Order: sequence, then C-alpha cells, then structure tokens
Amino acid sequence: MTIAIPGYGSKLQLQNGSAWLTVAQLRKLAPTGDGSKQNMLDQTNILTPGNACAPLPGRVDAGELDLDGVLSPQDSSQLTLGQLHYAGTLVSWRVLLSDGITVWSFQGFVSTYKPFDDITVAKAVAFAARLRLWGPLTGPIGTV
Amino acid sequence: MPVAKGLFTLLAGTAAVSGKLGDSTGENSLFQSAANKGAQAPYVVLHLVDVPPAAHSQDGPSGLQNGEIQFDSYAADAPTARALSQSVRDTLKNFSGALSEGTQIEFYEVTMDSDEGYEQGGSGYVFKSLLRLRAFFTESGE
Repeated sequence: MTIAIPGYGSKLQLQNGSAWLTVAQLRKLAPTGDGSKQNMLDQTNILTPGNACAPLPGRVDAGELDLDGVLSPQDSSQLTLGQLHYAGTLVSWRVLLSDGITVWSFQGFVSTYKPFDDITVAKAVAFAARLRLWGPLTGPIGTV
Repeated sequence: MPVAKGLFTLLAGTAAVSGKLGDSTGENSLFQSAANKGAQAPYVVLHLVDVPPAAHSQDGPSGLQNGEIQFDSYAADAPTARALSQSVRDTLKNFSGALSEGTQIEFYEVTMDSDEGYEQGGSGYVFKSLLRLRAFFTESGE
C-alpha cells in the first residue's frame, strides 16, 4: 500500500511572540517556480576533462511560497499578513501537514500582499500573499 | 430547510405575489419540492437546486452558501402562471436582507426564466413558468 495525505487539514502558522498564529481559511499554499533551488556555478574550463559541463553547487535559495484563502475581512491572522508586509518584518513560519506530525519551518518576509482578490459577482472573495523565504527550509530530517 | 420557510413568509407577505396565489396566505399555495394534495392554483413550488457552501478552506466549508433556487409557478392558464412567476422574480431578484427565520440572503442573478407548457395537475392540467435565481445566503446558526 502506498501513502498519500490530503491537502485538507494542513496549516500555515506564523510566530507571534511565544505563540503560533494560524492563517485562517487558507485555501492554497504552494512554492513558486522550482521551489527551493540550488544555484549551480559553471566552473567548466579548458582543463576540465571530457566534453561535459562540471557545475559547482553554490548557495541554496529556498524560494517563495504563494498562498491564498477565503477572505474573512476582520480576521486578525489575515490582517497580520498586511502588517508584516508593510513593516518588512522577518518572522518564523511553519507548515503543518495534514498527517499531524510533519512540520516544515522557515523564516521569511511577506513579499506581496493582496488584502482582497478575485472580487467577482458569483464567488466568495479571496485574499492572497507571497512569502519570500530567508535562509533554509527545515523539515523532518533537518535542513534542506 | 429554514431558507425555504423564510422565502415562503416573504412571498406570502408581499401583496404582488400573495394576490396572485390561490391561497393568499400561502398555506396551500407555497410548497417545497412538490405541491401537496389540495394545492390551490395558482401556486408556487420551490426547489433548492444546488446550494453548496460558497467557499472551502483548510478550516472547512463556509457558512455562506451560494446557490440556485428554482420557483415553479403553476396556474390554470399560461398567462396567469407567467404573471405569478414574474411577481416572484420581481420580488426577489434584487432582494437583500434578513428573512423571518433569520437567514441572511442576497439574490444576485436570474439564471432562467421560461414557460414550460402544461402538465397534469391534481385536478386537470396546469401551466408552468419556471424561474431560477442565484443567491448568497447564510442560514441562522451558521
């Protein structure tokens, strides 16, 4: 039997003093682009044997996370995203997966913020933001 | 479903509609899903066609529902059925507010408005006009 977990039940939390504040009514959380990416430096030169490139792994850029959710206009966790965005505050975040045990943590800024999004007649209004990760991701077996 | 009861009270309390019902109190002329025996034409049958939560998130489904509600207006002739359907449409299409049982509702779209011909009623043939409206609503207690 293979193992799979649903997206439903996952949480995004930010550190608020000694407590963790869950971003309410989150609908989607996804890394942008390639996710965490290692910069590969081309060190190939005329002395490199063979006819292939020989890259050198450089620093890892943990990338960005896009999030959106169902807007609850007075909800403090959603409004806090806007405050962090304006203040340029670096905060600790963690993603709790729906299995109830797996946690991914990181630090990051709220680099983009949409206090309301997708206002159309026949749909519930959404909100959205993007987190710019600072430093590495830390998961179940350590830093990646 | 509470929203249906609230809509019945609203329609029965609106002279433009109740004046066209066989039973102006609505008791024997406003029904949910199917007309009762002894329905007094003209009458209206309400169907909750599809009323799911308006949104879902990691916190579950929203209390706000986004749904389509159908009103079948029946009468002994087509013009009477149409007139009843139009009065229901005009009463509800821009309605926004609280219903008597506590549901907050806001209609925003007319998705279907048509004549459906006739069909066998309890005592002879009845003509039907069909009206579908979309609304956001939150029932009491959600």
